[in-house]
Amino acid sequence: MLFNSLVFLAFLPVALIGALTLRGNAWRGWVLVASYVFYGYWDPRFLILIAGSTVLDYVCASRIAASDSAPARKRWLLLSLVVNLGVLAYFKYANFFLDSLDTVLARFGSSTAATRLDIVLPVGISFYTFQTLSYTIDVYRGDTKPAKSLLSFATYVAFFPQLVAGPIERSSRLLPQIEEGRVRPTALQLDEALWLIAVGFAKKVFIADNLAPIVSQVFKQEHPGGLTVMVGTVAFAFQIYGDFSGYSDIARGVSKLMGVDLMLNFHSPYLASGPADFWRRWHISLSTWLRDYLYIPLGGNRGGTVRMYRNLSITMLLGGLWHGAAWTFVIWGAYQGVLLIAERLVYGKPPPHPARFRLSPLTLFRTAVTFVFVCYGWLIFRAQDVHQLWALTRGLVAHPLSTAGLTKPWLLALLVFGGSAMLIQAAEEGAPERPLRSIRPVWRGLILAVLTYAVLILGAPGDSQFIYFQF
Amino acid sequence: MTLSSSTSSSKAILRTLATFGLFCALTEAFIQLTLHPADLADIRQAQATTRFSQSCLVLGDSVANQLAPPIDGSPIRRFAVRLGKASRLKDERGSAGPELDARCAFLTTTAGATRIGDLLLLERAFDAGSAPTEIHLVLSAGGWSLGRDGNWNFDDGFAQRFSSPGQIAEIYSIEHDLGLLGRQIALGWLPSLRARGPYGQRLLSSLVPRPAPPPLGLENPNWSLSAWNRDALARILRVTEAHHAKLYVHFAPYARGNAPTDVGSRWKHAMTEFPAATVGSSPEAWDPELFRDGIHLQPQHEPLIATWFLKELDATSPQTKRP
Repeated sequence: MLFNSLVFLAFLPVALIGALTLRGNAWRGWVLVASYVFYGYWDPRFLILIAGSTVLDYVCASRIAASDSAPARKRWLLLSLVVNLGVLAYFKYANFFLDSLDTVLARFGSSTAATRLDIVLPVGISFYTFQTLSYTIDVYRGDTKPAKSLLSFATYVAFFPQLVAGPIERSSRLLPQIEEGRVRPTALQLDEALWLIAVGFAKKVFIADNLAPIVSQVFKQEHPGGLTVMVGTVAFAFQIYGDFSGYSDIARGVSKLMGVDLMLNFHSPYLASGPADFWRRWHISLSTWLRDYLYIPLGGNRGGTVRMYRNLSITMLLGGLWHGAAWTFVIWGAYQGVLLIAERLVYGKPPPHPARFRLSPLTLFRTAVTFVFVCYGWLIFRAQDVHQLWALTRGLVAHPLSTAGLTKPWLLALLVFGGSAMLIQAAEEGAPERPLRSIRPVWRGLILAVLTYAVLILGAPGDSQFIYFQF
Repeated sequence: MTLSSSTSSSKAILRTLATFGLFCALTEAFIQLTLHPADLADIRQAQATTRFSQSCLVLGDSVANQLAPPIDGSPIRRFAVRLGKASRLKDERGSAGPELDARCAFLTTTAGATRIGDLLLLERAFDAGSAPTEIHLVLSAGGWSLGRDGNWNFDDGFAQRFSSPGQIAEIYSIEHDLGLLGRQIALGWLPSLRARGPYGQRLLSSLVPRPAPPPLGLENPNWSLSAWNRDALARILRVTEAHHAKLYVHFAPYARGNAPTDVGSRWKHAMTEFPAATVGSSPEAWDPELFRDGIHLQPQHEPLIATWFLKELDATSPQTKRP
């Protein structure tokens, strides 16, 4: 079910009525059923998968918590890791590996008879797999207590606002809220929900979906000019920001209506002053997941500079592969690793928290440079394959000022929609959830109305999917 | 819902919501006043409620609408129409009233209105006391193959425009489609959603040109009669016969190469399901240069389709005397 569909508009009030009136197990049961309806509306067959993953991790974590034997605890953890990652690998990466094998064999003149498997990628599998894995690992590490009941855990895994595209919630944060039963929304939460839902829809339907035709028209050209590629890439930068950050905002807003707080997933990413700062602002739930469950276990900053760079590279490479089964994602991950290493080489260790954006010439310069590097990353990310990536890069370098394939109104569109995206990020920089907190209610109402009508009247037509659903 | 935070925060939320609601209500009212009277299907519905004396009624999609377009002016002009300060039938070229042919009243709309829209207009015309004895349905190439999905989304034409409580109830009683019911209610009763096309999409298309949807027939490469059209045609026939009128179905000329050469025979074959309807003469394939998009003629060539239709009218209903 898509947030930007009429069926969700019908579904949400029904889900909320139950969530706001029931308590205890009835509340959890209601939210779980609503979540399964939300997920199963797309394809009910995959409910079996999510239910299976839930039961497995519940059992594994319970056994880990109940056991005093270190080998036994490790065995249960391994079982969870192998099964979860195995299922993910099968659904997401099987054809990628077969295709790659096929290419390698063809190079050596061998038969290229490797058959593609007829696999449908379950929506959100990467998100909920990482969520359940973090739970089992946390229980193993003793960082969190196991869920009190299977019902609580199942509700935590399937919680519909964030099920298909995150934020990837840690059990230490979300599970206690679910185990509390009915959580009454506070006035503050309702205030935040209003902003998050309105701005989330505006980001998705007004910004992202309106930029989508420009992006697709640029990326389907065979020989676009360098300037055309730049316009298409910057448009994609704002499209993917609006699309993914919009989803996260709606998810967090809807969740707050039920009195449940989800973590901040985007914090004005294009105001970042360096690659490390960018990753503290972009898809925060994934970058912190990779830090806690991959980078630090690999050794993190320990063991010298070379090992640290190695750990950084592996983490970003696998982070890239998490996004999709294609070489472009692998290259994108490697590119992000190179950027992070280069930043450390030039500036030293970056500060541990997002740097507050300031209107100073130096910050503006660093922000602009970061944006340029981030955008080239998006070019890698959006390219259909390595051949197209190479062709577009060649066009950028060889004919940077060529406007072949460029339509003038696109520049105006980029100014309107990209400008709107930057305006929103500037507003959210100080207080991502309550940028309107110091404004009088009458102006808040007006701003919310403007966002609403930007969606209703100027929103792109159709119920377009969210980009991150495919990941 | 019980709020657990301070009363002042709750009051601030309530004030924000009240202001938000007020702004929304004012915006909806403004859009309703400026936009509503000038939408094609709305105009045709309003016209259908006025009893006419002609014995011939013409229904059809946007190709047919080239025969007698109603106004499609600026919002200010629409507002003037609403206030009764401008003629509803005066088009942008400044030529007021009479229709293309004095024998006929024209309630032509768009493909988005669908055959069900044609049916509802027909019913409305009969309910208003009009008593045409000939109903001429003019369809573009491939118009009969459209369903309710695809690029030619009926949300724009049908769900938004045919949304009075009676129409919604009638459609639901036949279709039993909750999705359609929801769309009709949401799109029909919120003026801002209806404004998406005339205001929003027109503005957006100047910024982000979108690729044109494929020609009508290409949505259904079999060029067969869609279930949605089959059902509606049967119902149009029933209504026509109940009022002792005769249904004539015409197939508008199309750009050569825009439809298979045997499309006429396919169409006639499909229409054998409806022996009570008279099918017009064989379809004509015209020079593609005359068209702007394969089915609609360029403005300077629009008189050609008028000439074609008058010829068609004389051929199919010779008993109707020219004035």
